[in-house]
Amino acid sequence: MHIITVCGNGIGSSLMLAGKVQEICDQEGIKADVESMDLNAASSANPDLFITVKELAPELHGRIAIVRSYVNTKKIREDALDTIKEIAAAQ
Amino acid sequence: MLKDLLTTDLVSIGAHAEDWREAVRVAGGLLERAGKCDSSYTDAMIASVEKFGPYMVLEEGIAMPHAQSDGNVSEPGICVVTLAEPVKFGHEEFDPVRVLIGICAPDPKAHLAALSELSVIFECEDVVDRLCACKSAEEVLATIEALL
Repeated sequence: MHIITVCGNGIGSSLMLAGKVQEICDQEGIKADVESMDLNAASSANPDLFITVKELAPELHGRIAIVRSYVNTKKIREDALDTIKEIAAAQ
Repeated sequence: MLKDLLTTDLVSIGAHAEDWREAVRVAGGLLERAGKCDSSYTDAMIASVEKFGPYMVLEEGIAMPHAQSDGNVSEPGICVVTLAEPVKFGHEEFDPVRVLIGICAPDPKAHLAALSELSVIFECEDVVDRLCACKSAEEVLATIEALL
């Protein structure tokens, strides 16, 4: 599955989030291609899932998982893993 | 790697800032003086918070100001600022901010390794207290190194 993590600039927060999400998917044995993007580029992208914080979510179109933190693995896992699993199962 | 990027001249202890903009300027000033970027990058970090909101406040008390480079960043840089008085960025959950970790990179991929190290720091629950307790730049470097 294709996952895009999003922040305003695509170079800092979303890059750290992408690393965490990849780690979580690997641990769960879910095949995922995770990349980070700035909000502008992401608004015209079409991945299986976007992962971002709630402030930026309204700008995106498609399936979105909202996380409370870009950096805290535990929170990211709690907030996004169910959606990731659901999409993986449907593929 | 983070250790190679973060030197004592890129640390400011107990800085004074009236508001979040001034706090970001302190961080930007460190990067500018170290020759990492020019002042338009500092302006861009502020503009980015104005445009996208305070999402750069990543955890309780700690923010990571950054922006996209626009030919105004000459090399990857990381700086650490601890504030004498906390400032509010307007983040619902993680305000007020006492520590800023400013980053810049000419190319987003250039600081991948350093960023994954930084994310370890952000996961440490008492990192803000530990950094704010530091009395010198050397102590900040040692504190961060101990977390990696």
